[in-house]
Amino acid sequence: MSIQTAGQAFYHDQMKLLQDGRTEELIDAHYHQDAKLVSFANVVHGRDDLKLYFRAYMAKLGKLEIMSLDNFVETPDSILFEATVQTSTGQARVYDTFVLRDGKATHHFTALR
Amino acid sequence: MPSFDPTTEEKITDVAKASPADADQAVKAASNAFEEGPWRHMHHEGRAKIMFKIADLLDERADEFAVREAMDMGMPYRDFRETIMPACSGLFRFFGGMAMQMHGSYRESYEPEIRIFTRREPLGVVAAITPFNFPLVLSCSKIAPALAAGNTVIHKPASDTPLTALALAQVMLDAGVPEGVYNLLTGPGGSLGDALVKHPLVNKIAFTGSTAVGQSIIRSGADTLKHTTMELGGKSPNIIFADANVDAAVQTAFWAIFWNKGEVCVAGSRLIVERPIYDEVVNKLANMARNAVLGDPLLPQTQIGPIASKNEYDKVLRYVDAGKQSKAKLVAGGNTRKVNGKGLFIEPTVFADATNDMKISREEIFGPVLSVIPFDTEEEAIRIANDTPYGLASGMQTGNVARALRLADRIKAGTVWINTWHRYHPSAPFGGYKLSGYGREQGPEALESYTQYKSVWANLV
Repeated sequence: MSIQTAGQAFYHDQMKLLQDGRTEELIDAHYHQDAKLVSFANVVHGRDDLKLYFRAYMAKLGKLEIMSLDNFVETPDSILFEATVQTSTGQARVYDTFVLRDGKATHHFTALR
Repeated sequence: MPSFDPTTEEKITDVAKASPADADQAVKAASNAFEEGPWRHMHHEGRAKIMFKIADLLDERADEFAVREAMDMGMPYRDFRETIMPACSGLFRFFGGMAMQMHGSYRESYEPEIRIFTRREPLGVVAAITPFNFPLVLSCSKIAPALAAGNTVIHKPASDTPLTALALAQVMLDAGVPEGVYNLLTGPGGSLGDALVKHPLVNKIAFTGSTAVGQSIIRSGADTLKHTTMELGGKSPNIIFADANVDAAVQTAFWAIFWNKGEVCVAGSRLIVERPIYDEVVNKLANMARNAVLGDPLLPQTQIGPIASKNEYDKVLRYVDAGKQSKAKLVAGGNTRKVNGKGLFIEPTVFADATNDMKISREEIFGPVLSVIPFDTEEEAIRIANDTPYGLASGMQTGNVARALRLADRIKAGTVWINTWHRYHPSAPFGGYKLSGYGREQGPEALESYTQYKSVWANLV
């Protein structure tokens, strides 16, 4: 994906920081202090818990390789995308929505199949 | 041999199921490495450098270890990262340093021409048989002093929770531990444990587990006169006096029993509370128990994960039923719970108005079940605290320093915590009185138990 918009840049950086295991930087750069991550299984609230969550999540996945970005839409204050990823535990399809304020997420909705 | 995730109740992976013949090969490899290899003859500083490298690699790979422990035995990821992993790497750093202080001494004889000096030498092959509840740290607490002293090690982790041991084996390789010095056997405890305990080339058994299995190991090892360190069961008393800061004491009491879902040998499973504050303590504890966050141990908000295995889950539930059938009053918990429809979760369970002769107050439950017992006098509190076959840990919550120190003298347990609980440090010896075992892990005392003394006599004439 060529990077032409703020939303595309956010997505690109999100994936790069995750793949590099730079979770501290990721959370500080992309999430507000009181941001919420919402999935079908749980809600994670605040930067400190988000850092722990992403460290555990990435350690469990082992690796995160983007096989294809299947859908991507954005508005000035949101991003929605669907992607196919390869992890150490297998291939999965991920769905993520970010609600943004000043370029950082206030809410991150995520699902994986 | 499958390993299961107690949160999802699904198989994570298969691990090798070693046989007694494999155990024999491992022992011979360890014995050969001890007799012929470089480890025991290496300069202390050489061993220390490798041990410091092990510590660094553990810290570097902490996330991987934390996920393995969370998935394998249900320990909250946060607890592991913040508390357990620093203790694991700390053990290798502490005993790496101790390796450089493993020296003998000089003694005077009756005759001036006779000179005596002592040497401290390693024992040989150490079998570390480790439990399911703190798989990594209770392995490190044996392996680190054993290696520091120059021994070679066979590590037999619990069959239910072997995954961090596999990652530890990789750390050993990557840190440059010589071939045969660290050997890992995964598989069933009964047949492998028996093979190790009876093997004539094994010199020491370092065991953490139940008192019954510890007694069996001692009996089986008697023919070959094994050195043994036994860290066994507990039914630890926690006394709250009326002069304590009640809110702080309740917090301490809650985590004393419910940390790691009560699957802790030093769990404060008998709470002994002075009558004037008894109702307040019970109400606050019950409230905390009702509001505890049970869930996926990988999630940061989770306070209490699932019980490590179905066998343990069923055993704990039998004790919950025994409590319900007794005259104790169930004030919180007492039920199983599912998270996202799955998991071996048991609610933090509090039985008030218990007496010290009840089954739930006498036997080690090894789960999230607390007996609360009232008392009226200091003497009565001491009597209840010591009225147990165990003596692993104990504690008291009080604003009276003199009383705290007086009780610390009189309580028969290897650890006494005053206005706190679950504090550990590699330098502080840890072990039990009575049926909780003997020998000490951690501290210089642990290194002592992995060495033997030799007296060398020289006639200068």
